[in-house]
Amino acid sequence: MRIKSIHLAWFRGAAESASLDTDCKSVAVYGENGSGKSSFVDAVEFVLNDGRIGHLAHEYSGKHLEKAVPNTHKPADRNSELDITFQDGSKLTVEVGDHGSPKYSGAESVAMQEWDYQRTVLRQDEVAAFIHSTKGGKYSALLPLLGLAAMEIAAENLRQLVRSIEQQAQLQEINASLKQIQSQRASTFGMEDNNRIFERMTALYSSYCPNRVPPTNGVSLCEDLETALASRISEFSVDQRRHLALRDAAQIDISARISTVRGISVRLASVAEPLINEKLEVLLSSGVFASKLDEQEEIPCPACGRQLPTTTFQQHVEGERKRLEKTIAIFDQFKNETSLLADDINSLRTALNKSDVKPWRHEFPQQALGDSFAYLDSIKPEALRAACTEQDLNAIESRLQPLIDAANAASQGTAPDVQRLSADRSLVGTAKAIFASQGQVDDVARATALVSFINYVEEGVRDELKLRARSVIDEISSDIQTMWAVLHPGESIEGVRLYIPKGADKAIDIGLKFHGVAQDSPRLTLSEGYRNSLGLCIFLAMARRDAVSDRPLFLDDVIVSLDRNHRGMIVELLEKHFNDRQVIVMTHDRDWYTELRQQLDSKNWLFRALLPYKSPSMGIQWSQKITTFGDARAQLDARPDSAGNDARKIMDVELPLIAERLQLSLLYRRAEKNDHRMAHEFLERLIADGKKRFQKRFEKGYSSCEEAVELFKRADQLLVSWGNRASHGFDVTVPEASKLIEACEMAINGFTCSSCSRPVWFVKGSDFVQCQCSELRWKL
Amino acid sequence: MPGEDWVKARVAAAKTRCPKIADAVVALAEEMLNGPLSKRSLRPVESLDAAKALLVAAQSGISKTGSAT
Repeated sequence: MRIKSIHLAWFRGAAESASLDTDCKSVAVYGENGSGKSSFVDAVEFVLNDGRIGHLAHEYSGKHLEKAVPNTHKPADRNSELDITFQDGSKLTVEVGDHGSPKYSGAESVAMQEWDYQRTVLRQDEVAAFIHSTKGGKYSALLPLLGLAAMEIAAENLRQLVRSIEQQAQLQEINASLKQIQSQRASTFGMEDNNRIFERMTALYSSYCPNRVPPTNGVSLCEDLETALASRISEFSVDQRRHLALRDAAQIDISARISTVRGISVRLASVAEPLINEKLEVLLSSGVFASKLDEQEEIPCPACGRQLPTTTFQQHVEGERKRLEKTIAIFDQFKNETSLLADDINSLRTALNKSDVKPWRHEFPQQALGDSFAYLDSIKPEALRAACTEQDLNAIESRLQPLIDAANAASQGTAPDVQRLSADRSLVGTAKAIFASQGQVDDVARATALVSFINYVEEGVRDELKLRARSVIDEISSDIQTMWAVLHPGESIEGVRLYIPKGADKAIDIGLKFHGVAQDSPRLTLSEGYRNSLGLCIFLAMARRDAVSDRPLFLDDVIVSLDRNHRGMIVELLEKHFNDRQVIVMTHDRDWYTELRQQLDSKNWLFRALLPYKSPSMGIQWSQKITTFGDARAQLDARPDSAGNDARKIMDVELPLIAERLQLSLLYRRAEKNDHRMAHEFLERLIADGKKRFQKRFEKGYSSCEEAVELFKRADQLLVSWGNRASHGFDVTVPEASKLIEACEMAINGFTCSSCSRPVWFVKGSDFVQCQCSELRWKL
Repeated sequence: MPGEDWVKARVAAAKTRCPKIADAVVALAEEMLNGPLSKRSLRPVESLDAAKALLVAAQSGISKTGSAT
């Protein structure tokens, strides 16, 4: 969808009203620095980036650029706003709110948001941005092409899905629980498998549940056994039950548990302290990282702060991630062990608070174990699960271990049948946990298989992404090479291409051959001018490959660092490859603008010039002087007088520029009159000098280019007679004006070579200028 | 998502590397890559819902011994 006009009101440099009318054609806009050209580009960026204009975003412009976007002299009762009218007549209006936020209305059908800024607008300071961006930045810039962005989203969704599956299936928690059961199993049953454990439980069943058929399900078997054991215990005497409870308490190895927790604490401290120090460094260096990433080959890693070559950066980050995961695993282990410690304390409290044990508790004098019992009753094991300090561990060790020791001493005389029942009850408890965990083992297996599968799918999507990215960048590389060849014919920089670096996942870089030697980056050898030239080729190549190919392109002062010859080639590039696109070219280079006017087809191009900026109140002002022969012809039927007058104005503007290039000598005239000569004066001189100095190559060498001189004469005759009538008499007919326009256009075209399409001043020699193929020559 | 054939091919390749996975899971994965959710980033709640659906589908696919059903 082409743009028909961009209208600004109190937006950036514009005052009440400033319009860039394109008539849906491509447009070249000339204006001195500060004349307001970029205000129109700013307007496009404002829409594309939802109220953001990159080059204006700084600490003084306000959060929403409210101090930078409105004209500084905007009257209080006026709004800053912009309208963009499209080819289909629809109009998008954007009002800039008091706080800088955009309010959109109209033109809903035009999805301008799809014209992403990076591939729609190229500004002077952004020409080499792609080259200077990181490999990841280049990859991101290319992603939106051919739907790769959607595939990247799909891959990221799959990655997120894996995390959700792990969370939903409680994989981490269940694995911790299973690990604990495995540990119990190893200490209780050694290497015995499930069948053997089931056999042992069946044997116990026949002992504790005689004359009953044992269940075939392991959990039910153990539950029946627990019921039978509880029944036996209830038949015990008070002394036996006390012995049993004290034996349970005595079997709690709280010292070993505390020792384990302490061991993990030490490991945690050893990994956590340097880690925390490094992370503090990261905070300090992250700003430096951001600013240096595009400029230096070595950068401080944002994960640890160490200096790293950019090439190994990704692998290093991966290593840092694994290191953090390892630390997190130790934290999990710590939490698991403190949780087990809390379980132990609960078991001890249950055992020693049984009514059968109370008489035993009262046997101890208050000063002996009173504090320990009081501590046991007051401690909150659940709080330990959240946080467990060394002080807690010391208190538990000093207060509770004496209780266990006392219980152990008191349970030494336990009757053999009580001991056996206690041991059997422990066996049954562990066996039950093993059988019950089988379901969890299956759940974990399923979830793990699912995670593996989704990981493989993500890997597949990323492989596909890489495959397509390769295909896209090959196509773009081909376009870059074509465009580079247009801008730099016969030069020793060739084979410019985008490539995916080996082993990289989300990265793209630029390679080339410099005088036959392969280079991994244009930054190694190319000058700033060449980098900008390459940046322009890349921008245009990406624009050509874009799915949204009918959006306009904005080139804002992009030729600043290019020399004259390469600037000239850009015209050819635009003509050859962007004839079907709407291109808006802004320039402050008057010579280049003149070249554009002379060489680009006026059927497809409009040419507009801005007046120098005078004041914010006057705003952006268009020059009325510069029109094209196409504009003049457009007025033929309705206003032939204006059409003829336009043709004369064109000659008044063009001929001084040509005269300067051909070094014509005209008599000096006093003061300003020197700068206000009319076309007739220049044509007179051109006719006089042209006979000797304007030459054309024939078979036998150069001779006078008489046909061009005849064209100058014809234009001069008509300008003098009819041009004056058009200006003052208002009685010019359509055929007369048409002849005048044609004669003027032919006179200007007379300077352009019919073979190479270059003007006679294209190449400068020591005492002549000539076209590219040297068929036309002007002796200086 | 441009084209569906590559999605089928890539999901099938993942299934070959992970033969225990249920057909229902494979179908869901294909749907995720071809359906409306493939066009934008998943919100956390959508991701959790999808994870639940996949876990339910996975239950019918793997027996206690870990073999495919």
